[in-house]
Amino acid sequence: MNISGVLVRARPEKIDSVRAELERMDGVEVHGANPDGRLVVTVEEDGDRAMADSVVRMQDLPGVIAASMIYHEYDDSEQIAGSQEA
Amino acid sequence: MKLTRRDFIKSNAIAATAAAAGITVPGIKTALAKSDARIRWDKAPCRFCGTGCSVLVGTREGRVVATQGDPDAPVNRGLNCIKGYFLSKIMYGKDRLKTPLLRMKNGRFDKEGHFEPISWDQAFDIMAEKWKAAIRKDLERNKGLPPEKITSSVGMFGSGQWTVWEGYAASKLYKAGFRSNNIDPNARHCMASAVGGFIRAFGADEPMGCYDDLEHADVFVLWGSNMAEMHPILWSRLTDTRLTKEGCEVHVLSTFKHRCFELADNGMVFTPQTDLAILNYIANHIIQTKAYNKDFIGKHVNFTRTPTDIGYGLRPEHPLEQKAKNPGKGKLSKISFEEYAKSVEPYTLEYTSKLSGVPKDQLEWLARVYADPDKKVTSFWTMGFNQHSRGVWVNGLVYNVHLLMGKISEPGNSPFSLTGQPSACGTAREVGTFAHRLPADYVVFKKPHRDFAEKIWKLPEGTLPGKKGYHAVLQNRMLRDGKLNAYWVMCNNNMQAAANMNEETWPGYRNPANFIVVSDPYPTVTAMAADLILPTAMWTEKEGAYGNAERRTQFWRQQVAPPGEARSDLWQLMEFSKRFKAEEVWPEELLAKAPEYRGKTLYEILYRNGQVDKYPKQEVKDSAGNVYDNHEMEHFGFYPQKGLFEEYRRFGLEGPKKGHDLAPFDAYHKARGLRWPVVDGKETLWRYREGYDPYVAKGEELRFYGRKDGRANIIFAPYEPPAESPDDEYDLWLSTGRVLEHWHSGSMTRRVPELYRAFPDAVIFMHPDDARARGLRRGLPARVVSRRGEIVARVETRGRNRPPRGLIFVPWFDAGRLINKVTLDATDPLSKETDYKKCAVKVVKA
Amino acid sequence: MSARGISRLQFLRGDFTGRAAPQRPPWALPEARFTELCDGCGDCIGACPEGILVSGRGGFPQVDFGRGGCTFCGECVQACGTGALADGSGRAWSLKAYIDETCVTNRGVECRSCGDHCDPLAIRFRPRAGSVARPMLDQAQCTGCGSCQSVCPAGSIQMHRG
Repeated sequence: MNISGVLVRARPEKIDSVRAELERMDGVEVHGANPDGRLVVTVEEDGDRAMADSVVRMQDLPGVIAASMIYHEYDDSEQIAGSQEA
Repeated sequence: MKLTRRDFIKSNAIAATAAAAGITVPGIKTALAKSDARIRWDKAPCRFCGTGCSVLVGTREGRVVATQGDPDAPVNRGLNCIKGYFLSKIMYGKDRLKTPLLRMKNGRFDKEGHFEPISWDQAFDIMAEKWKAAIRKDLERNKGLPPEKITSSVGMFGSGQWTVWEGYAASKLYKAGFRSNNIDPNARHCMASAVGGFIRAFGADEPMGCYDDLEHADVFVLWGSNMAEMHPILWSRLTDTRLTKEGCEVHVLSTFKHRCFELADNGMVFTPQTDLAILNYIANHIIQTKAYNKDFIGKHVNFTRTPTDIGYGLRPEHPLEQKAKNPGKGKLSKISFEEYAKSVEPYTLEYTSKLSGVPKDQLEWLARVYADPDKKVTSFWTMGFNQHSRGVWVNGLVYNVHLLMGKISEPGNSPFSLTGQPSACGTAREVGTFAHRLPADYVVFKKPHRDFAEKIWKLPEGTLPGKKGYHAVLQNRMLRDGKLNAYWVMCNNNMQAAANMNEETWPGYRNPANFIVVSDPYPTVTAMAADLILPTAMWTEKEGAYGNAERRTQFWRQQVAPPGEARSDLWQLMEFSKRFKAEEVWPEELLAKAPEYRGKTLYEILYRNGQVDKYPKQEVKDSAGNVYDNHEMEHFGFYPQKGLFEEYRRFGLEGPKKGHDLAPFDAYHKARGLRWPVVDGKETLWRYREGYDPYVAKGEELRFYGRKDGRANIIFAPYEPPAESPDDEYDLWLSTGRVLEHWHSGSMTRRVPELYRAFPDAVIFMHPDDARARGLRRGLPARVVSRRGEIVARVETRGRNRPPRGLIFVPWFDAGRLINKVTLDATDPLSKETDYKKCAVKVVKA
Repeated sequence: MSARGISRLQFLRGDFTGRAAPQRPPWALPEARFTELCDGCGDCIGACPEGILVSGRGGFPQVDFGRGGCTFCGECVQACGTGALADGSGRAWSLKAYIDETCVTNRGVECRSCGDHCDPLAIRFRPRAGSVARPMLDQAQCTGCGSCQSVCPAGSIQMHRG
């Protein structure tokens, strides 16, 4: 399980469309926004795809100035247990 | 509802992101640490630099256990630097001083004795004895002299880290009580040149703009300021603007490459001291291309020039002073625009590029952004400008450029002097702890100003001395010469901080004619050189107030009790004043004018004057209903912080100088700071401009009301060489400064194990070629030698600072490697501020 | 699992992957072989100019990154007369640095200590909008020297075998 907190900075006038685009992405949730264009976003991914890809995709959305990962936690407790059995 | 592991991680992610964004997300605690209900949280400004970040202080069972960036703070918006992150640990160093210590032999004070614990009573006994002896001599010597002529042999070295009321109480005790102007703050080493620049150009201290300029500007120019390390939170705001605003540019000028160059569009490394020439070149460019704002300079500007060849503020017998034509002269003379234009004409692109070593295209790019009327430019500077043997000049030269274009006093157009200490503005400058100042920009050498102060302080006419006292550097020289004999150092570490420690500071402190008292929380280099050490309460162990670089005054409540017998500076000052009767410090002719003060103590005259003691004991409570201690209120039986602040506030409200209004005491405990002038409860963001500043009348557009004619001064000053330059023997420039992890002399940050580990010892940053040429490489120890002294440190050829060939940079935080044994005490003759950025050294294998 | 060469001690402790073994000096042979050859004389400890080698369990030397990073100078190998440390050619070890989520930059705190001490420039900080710069660790460049771990004020860096 892979969870990140991402701060997305959008052009203030584009904030609504950016929000909608973000919410369409798999595993992405928007938790808060500020009229100056800042959005608090989390990304959850269970697969192997690197978290960085999601952040890059956000960065490429029209109206997004910057997307920066603020928090990242990778909980691999199952995998650790698995490796001990090997 | 059970929180799953997934929910938990997610809420952590949201909290961290929201904190960084400065957004509140409902249902999510803004900070993780807040989830512990046993912790009480309250706001306080950070203890360190002049940025004035607000932090949330978490207290549990009488101990500060956590701090975090305050998400509601307009300055830092939840961000913090690594020093601020570890604030909770600065008060808990293992070697915290808990009792007064006196040098003794056989149970008595002895200058050559060893430190032994004594009681506060004993401490004040010996202090009072020494002070009274000195003052008796002073009274004898000053007999019959007018206030303009009297001198004193007692002194104090204070601080831009004093709280507002501590600085005010100290200034009052010295200037009114002991009738001594020999009180100066360590801000002399830091901001004195900026002050000089402000007063000469605008007649009023402190910036016209504010941190909001960080979002409004199109172009940022850094002049001798490594914001990325020294003001990291402001730097992150600047970075934000640079990365998100189209067309935004960052220009960085320095004598070596540092972290700001990472973001610089135009990074320029110039030969030390040639900033003087570069600024004149920009002015010349503006005039040659006819870009100047004719309307603005016609209405709002005077053209003047300053005397040249003014020496280097060294001892008068120094050959450089003997050689100077106009040592220490600064009186401005008016000139015409044409004369000014002619004065800057020699500073051509060709000449300036050659002198400074900066390529022509880069200089021209810089000049063009200043000259572009459509680009809003904010210039920042710190110690690269202020610690400069022509510091006042160079401050003026940057104003010249802004004034020629009219790029001033409006959002984004801002010449902005950043400060190094948390209350360099709020305390050291605003309450008048300088040897020449009184509160709110009044000065001791003007009789009407003294009259006004005496009126507010309810003192007989002629109490306040009118002659400027000894400034910081002069204090050390006078100690050495035995003319300053009873000396109190509070809230700073000047043995480590002052230049040329071997030849001046150390012999001064150890001169048998002198008695030196140092108040500090820790056994600093300075404390260990004293005769008496007083243990001091620090930061949130007392109620306090600081004023940051953007004129923002911020308060905090006492969060915890100080350890052992440690007491706040305020307590120490007020308690010490009880030891003096008016007859012991004032001459008969003064007492005759105020017979009601006969037999009274200075405590009664200065602090129980019906004003300072006006506010009775009360409960200190926050909006959540938490109750806080206030040890001083408990001890003195009234609310001294409030009384002192309210009395001090009258200087800004009632005097002839306008524009210094502060809000009532209680307002600050509620707000995240307010930027003065605060008029009708409203703060002022940009001074001098109609619509922003309540003191500029409708239709006036702009008025520099600090000056009688309402016009700012453009002041021509030429390039002049520094006091000492590299030669065949001492072949390298030495520049000193700070690093991100440590603050100033490191007396607090080096006691935080995490910060100590992050940057344990000072190193010699040098160019790899310079190292190789001396048989050195990275990590090897080397000696840095000047004509005055030497130290040993390891060579660093990588990392954050990359000096050009011919220059080394050594941080000064390290008490084990005292670089100020090596530096030169050359000062700006006008501001008396030391140039810590330039002297000549050699580096050899250790 | 024996590819890692775990020792009997590790086996008894149930550390089958060898991950929990103390970090031996650079160029140490696989753990089982190392503990066989090393006689605990301490010569390598005395030779280390950085002073990061300490005597661990059983008198065997190990690296303490809390004391600093390894410069791979090879003095310990030179000093070793038992052959427990290989010849000093090739990679010294497979260690890599990992920065975990407790890194203070995740909380909007400006800190750059690890980057400043990273000789191979594997840790870089890039300015970014919205908050403070964060470390970006390029594993390919990391030599596992441990300098970053020793200076990290938050203890957020661990060295793991790659």
